[in-house]
Amino acid sequence: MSEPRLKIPEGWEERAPEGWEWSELWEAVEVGKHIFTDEFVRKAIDTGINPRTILDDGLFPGFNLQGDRFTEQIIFIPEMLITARAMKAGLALIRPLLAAQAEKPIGVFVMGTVLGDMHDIGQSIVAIMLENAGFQLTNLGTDVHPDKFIETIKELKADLVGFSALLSTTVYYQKVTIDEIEKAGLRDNVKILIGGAPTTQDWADEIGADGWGRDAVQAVKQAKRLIAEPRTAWA
Amino acid sequence: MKELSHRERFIRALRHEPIDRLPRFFRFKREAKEKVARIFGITDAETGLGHQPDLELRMGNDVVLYQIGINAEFSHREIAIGDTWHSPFNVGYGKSGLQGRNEEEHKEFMKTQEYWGPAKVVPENFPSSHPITSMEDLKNYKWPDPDDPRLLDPIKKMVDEYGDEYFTMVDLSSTLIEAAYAHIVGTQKFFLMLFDQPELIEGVLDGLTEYYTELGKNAVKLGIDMIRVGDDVGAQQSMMLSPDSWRELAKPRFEYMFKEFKKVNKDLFIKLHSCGDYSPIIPDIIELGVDLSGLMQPTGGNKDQVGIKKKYGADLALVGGFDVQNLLPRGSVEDVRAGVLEVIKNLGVGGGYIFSPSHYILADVPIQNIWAMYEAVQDFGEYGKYPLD
Repeated sequence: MSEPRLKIPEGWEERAPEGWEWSELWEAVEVGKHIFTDEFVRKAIDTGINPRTILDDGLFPGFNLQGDRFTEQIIFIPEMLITARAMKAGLALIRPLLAAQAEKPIGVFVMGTVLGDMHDIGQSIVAIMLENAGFQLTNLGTDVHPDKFIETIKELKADLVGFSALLSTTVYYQKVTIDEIEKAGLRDNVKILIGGAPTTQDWADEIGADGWGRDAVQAVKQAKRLIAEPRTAWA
Repeated sequence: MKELSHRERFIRALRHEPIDRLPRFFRFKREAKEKVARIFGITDAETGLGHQPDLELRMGNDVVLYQIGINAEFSHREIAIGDTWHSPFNVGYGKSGLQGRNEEEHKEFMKTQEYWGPAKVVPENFPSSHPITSMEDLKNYKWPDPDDPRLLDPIKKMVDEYGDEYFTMVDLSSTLIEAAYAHIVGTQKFFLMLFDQPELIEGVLDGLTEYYTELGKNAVKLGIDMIRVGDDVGAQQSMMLSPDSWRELAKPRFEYMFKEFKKVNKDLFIKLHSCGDYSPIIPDIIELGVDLSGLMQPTGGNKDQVGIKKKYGADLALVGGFDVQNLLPRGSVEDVRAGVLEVIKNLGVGGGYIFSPSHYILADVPIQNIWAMYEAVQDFGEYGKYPLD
């Protein structure tokens, strides 16, 4: 594999005011300067740049670069976390503006760690990456009871639900949660993704999940694939 | 070859010398241990600080292990749902809601027990509060007493009782990076602090190094054969932090620790354990003079056991490699038997290998699979016979 490179968005100059430069922001997200990112994004908003443009041209390049490096095992959890934190700082400012422009998320995603499992470091990375990919994301955190999943799925009319489990002793709750979603009559309304260290494609098939995310990048790919698949519309 | 004593066998394996059969090293979590103990008619199957090795020895363990340190305090302890228990490190621990926090949730939990049959699902204990999250906390923090007889007396007893016949090992885990992120600071905070306030992380790691060095030296003075440090830096597919960060944060501190231990006993053996894939730092581990290390999660990351053996097997004795994530809890009896054979073929040929499941045997393992593993290692673990001929 070749060394991941910064992908500079094509034609960004035409979408930015005269003399504008994004490169400082690309680097800030890459090295995880969250305070600088916050300040820069505020400046961009004040300048009147379209929020979608700020996201695509300003925030994504540095984030995607780190995502690629993470996949290639060039960087690791600490570096990915600070980049995710910087990205989050920028997103927090952009998200309300996108909503005000009535820009629709590509899907509503509910996620959490199954009942009994308290490990969420990987999940928090997946959450941010899904959000960056354009999903409206609700992260229920750790140790989530199946009822809580069901309640949230209904309330938000979710398109996708994802649950992770780190332990071989808690992974069974992925099955329980799917069974409970089925019993609640919601199985055809949502696509289900699973992940976590002891999980495999075989396990996903066995318990009737729609997809398995081997890692954070795969989880996002799977989510994008599943959102395009047909499912029963919410009433 | 004539039958060796357990201690001889283990030491010879560490030195890559010819042996009669593969040394064995089984470790259990309480629920699994109680299940198997019943079969052998063993009544005391205590784990953790009250550890009783009878069952492990009955299964052919060549080593007697006693664990002290952060993990020993919390991981085998019974904590009621909803309770928080504070360890001597002032870390708070609680159970997750796996068994249910009320009648109704408990019913839900019992359904899962029916599905698994004899393989019970049990909740683990989790750190729920962390004592050092600021420089102020660090300044005021009191490390536990490394001369604590509560920890050292059982080691003396182990050496007196088993030291002649068996290899004796003291496990100081979790020791350094893992101790800091999982317990003392909190995982997310630890990783962010590496950038935001590195002096806090350095301070915590220095404190841990000092404490464990003293505690370990006390254990070595009692005549044990091996110190095991356990420090999880591997995730399923890769390392959690970069090999360079590990070299900066952990390597010099372990170097200091091991030198201090060897000042007490220059013949001391050292084992370094990490869960997950930590293959990028194996050369560093060898450089530190570690004698034994594991292949802990054969299902993810670097799965090339033959390659690892070929590359590092001459400089490092290996342990583990038998999958406890999928094969042992969920494979059939035939799968387990085939899995044992494969691992022994991969790692046992030529010596320098200690058979062990890749981690603790957990509560979710069906008893027939434990039995199948136990039988298979007897059938395939003898040197001079297939597959070790």
